[in-house]
Amino acid sequence: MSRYIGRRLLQVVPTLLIIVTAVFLMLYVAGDPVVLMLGDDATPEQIASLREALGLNEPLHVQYGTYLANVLQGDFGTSYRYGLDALPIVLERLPATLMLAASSLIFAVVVSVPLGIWSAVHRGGRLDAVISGLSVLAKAMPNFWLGIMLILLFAVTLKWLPVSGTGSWGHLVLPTIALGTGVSAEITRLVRSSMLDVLGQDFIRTARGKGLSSRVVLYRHALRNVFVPVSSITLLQFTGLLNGALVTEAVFAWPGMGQLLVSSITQRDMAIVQAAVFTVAVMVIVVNLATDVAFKLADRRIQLS
Amino acid sequence: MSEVVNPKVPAYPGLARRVLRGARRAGLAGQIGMVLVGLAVLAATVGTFLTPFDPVEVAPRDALMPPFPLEGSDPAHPLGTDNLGRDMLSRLIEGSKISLTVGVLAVALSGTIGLTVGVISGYAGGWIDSVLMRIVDALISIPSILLIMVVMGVLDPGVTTLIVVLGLTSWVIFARQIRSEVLEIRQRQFVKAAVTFGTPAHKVIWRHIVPNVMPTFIVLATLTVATVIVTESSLSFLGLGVQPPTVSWGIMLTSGRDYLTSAWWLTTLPGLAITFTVLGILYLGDWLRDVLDPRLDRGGE
Amino acid sequence: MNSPLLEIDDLEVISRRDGATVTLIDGVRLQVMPGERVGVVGESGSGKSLTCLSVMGLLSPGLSISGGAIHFRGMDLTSISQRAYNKVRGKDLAMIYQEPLTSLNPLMRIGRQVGEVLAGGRSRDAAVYEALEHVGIADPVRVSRQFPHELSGGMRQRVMIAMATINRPALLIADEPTTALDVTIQTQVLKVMYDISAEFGTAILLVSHDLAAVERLVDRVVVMYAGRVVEDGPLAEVLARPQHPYTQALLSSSPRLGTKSTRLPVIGGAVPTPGAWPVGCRFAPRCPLRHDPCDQRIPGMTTAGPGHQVACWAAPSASNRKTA
Repeated sequence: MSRYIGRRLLQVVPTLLIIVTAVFLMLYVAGDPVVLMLGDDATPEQIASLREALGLNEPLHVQYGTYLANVLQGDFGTSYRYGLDALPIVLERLPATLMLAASSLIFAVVVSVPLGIWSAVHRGGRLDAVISGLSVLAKAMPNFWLGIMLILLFAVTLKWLPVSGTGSWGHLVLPTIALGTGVSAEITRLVRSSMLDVLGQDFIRTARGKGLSSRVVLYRHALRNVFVPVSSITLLQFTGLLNGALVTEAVFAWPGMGQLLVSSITQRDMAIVQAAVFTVAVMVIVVNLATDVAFKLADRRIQLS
Repeated sequence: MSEVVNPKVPAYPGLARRVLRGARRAGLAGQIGMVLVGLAVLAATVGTFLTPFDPVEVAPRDALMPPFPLEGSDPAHPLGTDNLGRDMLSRLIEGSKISLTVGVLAVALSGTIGLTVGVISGYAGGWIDSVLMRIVDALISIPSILLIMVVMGVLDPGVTTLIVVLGLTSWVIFARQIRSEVLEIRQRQFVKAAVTFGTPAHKVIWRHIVPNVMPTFIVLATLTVATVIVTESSLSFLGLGVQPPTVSWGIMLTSGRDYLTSAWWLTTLPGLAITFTVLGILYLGDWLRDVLDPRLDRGGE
Repeated sequence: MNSPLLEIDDLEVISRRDGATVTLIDGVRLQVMPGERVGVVGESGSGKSLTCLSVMGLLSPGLSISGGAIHFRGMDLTSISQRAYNKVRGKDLAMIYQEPLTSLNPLMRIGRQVGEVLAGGRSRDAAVYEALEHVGIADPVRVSRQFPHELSGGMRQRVMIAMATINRPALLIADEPTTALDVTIQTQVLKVMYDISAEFGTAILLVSHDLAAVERLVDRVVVMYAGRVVEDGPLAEVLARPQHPYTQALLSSSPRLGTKSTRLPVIGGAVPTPGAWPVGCRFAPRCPLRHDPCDQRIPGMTTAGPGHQVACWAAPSASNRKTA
């Protein structure tokens, strides 16, 4: 088992390397950060000396080496806007984004699992068709537009919930719904197909043959066989959630990494951009790895044939 | 079976015929899809020449008129005007041009790359496969919007850049799925037969592998167009995609947001346009999947 | 004279798919007396498994009973509600299946699967251990905690039997229970079934295409072909004096210990598929005794001996006929 984990960790290294290199190359291409840092009225001498100080005149491979060394120490440079080290700024914003992603995932699961089960059980019926239609609609709506519409309806018109920002649990509601809806369409579809798969299997017939009620057959026998595939794919939705969070945070002025990233990009605060990309990539890799390992463990114990 | 007897016959005619036949028997969803996509394509091509007003020209006197027949509206502007007095209907039609163009071209680019990589990787196997798949895995693990945002921020934004960037990031989806299809096709009888006949690799690929990968590719391409359209609108919304004065549904949402409380149609209408276009594409994609290869996963049916 | 425990009367089962209706079983008649052990033999496609599933009410969606009745202890199972059915299944009426690995829930411990069907207030664990011991499992406490994939095929089938008989049902239906097992294990499993039947008075309806397996367990044998019963009689009788040409061919083509044969004769042709059944006797196309009436009307059951019936125009006692 530990060998498996070790092997997977090793596989992660080249991936990280590629990502880090890609970021480096992007920034190299991005152009001169010095002008931004010093402002418009900087003299050519000031620009030149800062460039020298930052090591920007070194050949490419030397810069790359320095960059890698810095990354290993967690040093992504200094944000010119905040005047502080980039990585800590990013990390400070991380919990807000994670909270949004987590609550959206929970929301999606809570909504989708029952819907998926019902559509499987009522397969071909009207309920199934309605749920399926809603799912497609949920997938088609851009989540940021859904966010805006939700604000329009609940915050502006009905005035039930706050428009944006944080401060209370109420602030979490609309962003969660906006972000979680798209994912729930995916999960509903998944639960439905897994459920249909399981319900067609022999042991369900055996359970019915034992005189167990439909409810017992469904919840005691069928459900546990759906748990593993559904959970693993659900957790893998995390990447998609981060994607969505980046945009949703902009709509709701949610103080997470997404907002930070967008403003840093538009204002060319490259240190933060680097740090943020790296952090997100690491998070995604960690979550995927943890999911893989967890299910490998569960699999070992059960050993489904 | 004719493929074994005559290994030179590709499967293309079969595909087109199947699609046409399937068009007549399409279910409700498929029909809705065809109608919606048809409308969008119509708007994007012919529609842009027929817009009632110039979508870009500013007319401040007519600013913020609601859709007809609400109070303060004008039948000449059936969907109202925006904060600069521009006709909403015309802008929506103009926006479809961008969305569809970006969608189709980006997918053409990424599809070509992805198809090539997938076929080569799947057919060649060995270290080529390993290396390519390692790269694919690395790229997939970065949330795509993140990557695109950063790149768009670094380069000069604009339609061309957008298409290239979107094309260069979505190819991984194709590569992975095409590769597993190829792995499966490679095992089939007629391919093995062709190989034993001594057919050179590029001919086997071109005549046997590619035609049989087409159904998956077409379905995937259709669905990816939908994804790209949504991504473009998200990026434009954030200011990192298409730039004004080019008209895009995403940009309309950006400016509309400032008038959320006073002019709801500025944000509602463009979003509906995106939603229905994407919905149409999704339905169309599902229908294509049914028509081209009923053996593909239909969600448990 | 006892009344039958199970009486299948003119059962008809159809399949409805994509608008097409196909008859899979038509006019099956079968009886099981209390405590009796009956074997049903026939090739695949004869409808024997479907008959079992019909009795249990476990037909897959798309299949339905379109005619006839199934009387069990006086109740007509074809017309009761799901709730009423659930009161009978697992308690008075139980079934075991061909593939014990897929027929058991892979994610549920044995003890729980066996025990959840317990009726009445018996203490769960004790009853489960007792049931497992009864089927010859030496260490019921340990097995109880295990999962199906941890057991061997023979053990799993024993567990299935325990699960089905824990409530001492009046009738146990067994659909090819030994087909997926090794020959030596087959004998053991059949013995377990025999012992339980003898001890609890459970009637058994054993379905198999393997005559040798049926032979060892049952008192009476029913032969099915293409959706109908063609012969029905006491085991010894049918083996010694098979009346239906199909039965005769079956007996001579299946290898049985103790009989001398140099080569196994093969029955030419193939079983007609549902939907492509010939008019008249369905075995006629392959039958060495085929003559005029065979192609025109399906023969009804006639008496060929004490408790022994056959459906064949060529059977010697076709003259004293009983209307079907």
